[in-house]
Amino acid sequence: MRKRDAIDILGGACRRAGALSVATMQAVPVWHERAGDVPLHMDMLGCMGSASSLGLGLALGQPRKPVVVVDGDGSLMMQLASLVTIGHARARNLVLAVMCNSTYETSGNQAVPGGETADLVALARAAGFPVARRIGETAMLRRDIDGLIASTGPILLAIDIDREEPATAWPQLSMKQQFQDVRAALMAKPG
Amino acid sequence: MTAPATNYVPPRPLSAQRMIDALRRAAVSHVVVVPDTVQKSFLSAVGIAPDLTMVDACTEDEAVGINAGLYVAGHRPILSIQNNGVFACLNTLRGIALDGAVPTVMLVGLYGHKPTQPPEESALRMVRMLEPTLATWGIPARRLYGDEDLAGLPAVYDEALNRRGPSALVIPIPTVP
Repeated sequence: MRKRDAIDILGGACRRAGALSVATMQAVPVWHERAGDVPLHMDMLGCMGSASSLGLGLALGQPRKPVVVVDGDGSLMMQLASLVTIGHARARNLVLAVMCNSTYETSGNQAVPGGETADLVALARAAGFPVARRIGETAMLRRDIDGLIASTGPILLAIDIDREEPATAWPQLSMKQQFQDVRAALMAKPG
Repeated sequence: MTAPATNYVPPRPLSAQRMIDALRRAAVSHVVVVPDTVQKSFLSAVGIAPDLTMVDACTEDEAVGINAGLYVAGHRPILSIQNNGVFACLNTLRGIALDGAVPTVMLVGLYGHKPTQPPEESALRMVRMLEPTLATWGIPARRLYGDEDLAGLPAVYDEALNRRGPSALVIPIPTVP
């Protein structure tokens, strides 16, 4: 599936569920193009691997709100133990949607170690995720996403996407401002 | 070789219960932990404190990210990590705490420190280089050399909150129950 189709679906689900969302690396420009109107969104840039942990902190701190993290397989590999930390924390409202294409797109589509051999779904299950699924078809993601977000997590979705050329145009973003804006919104309406 | 400091006053162990009291005065909500030998007694006390939520992390990188999420979610977390953990997570401190301007207050155990010797004179890089490393990144560090120093913890927390950045509180020798 194309990354933008996956993000259309994830963004729509976040709107419907009133979810907090986090995107990282190559998902960021696509998220802002296709789902930029989703409120309560933050990016994680310049710190590969940290999106899942940021999402865990949000999920523990706002247990009544779904939290959807749009991660990448290369990024997750940089802090793979976060799967164990998330499983241990039993973050019921956390969905880790991992865009899987076995490459580091940003740096030129080099192969991700384990891209052809490591099984993220099995790793997540072994780490204590009650739901871990591979999703290869757009129709399946569209059909199941609302139910998955409403399920008891933590949930890992390994979403197979095509290899693409890295984005060349990036939105002007300030992580610093996003953090403050989302915090202000959450503190104004405690969950 | 550096001449020994003549006016060096060795640290006295921090009381875990006094540390918990200081966290309460700072209105800390969560303690995000990667275990540290120096803070063993403190971690035991956190584990049974009814008003503090302990969050375990596998790595210090994760601890910094979790801290950020809890902060954005409206809480007042603090980290409990080790000097070697600071070295391990420098890029995440740079990316999230500094560039992302997230208050990140760290209780840092000074593993390997000999109390009779100032840290800057230690033969061990993990001891000697902690404060210079933090200083290089512009991260304020304060030593907790006795229970009386805990009185300053709430002010350190609020300063980090207002500045929106990281801060370290260095614990030089093992805490006691």
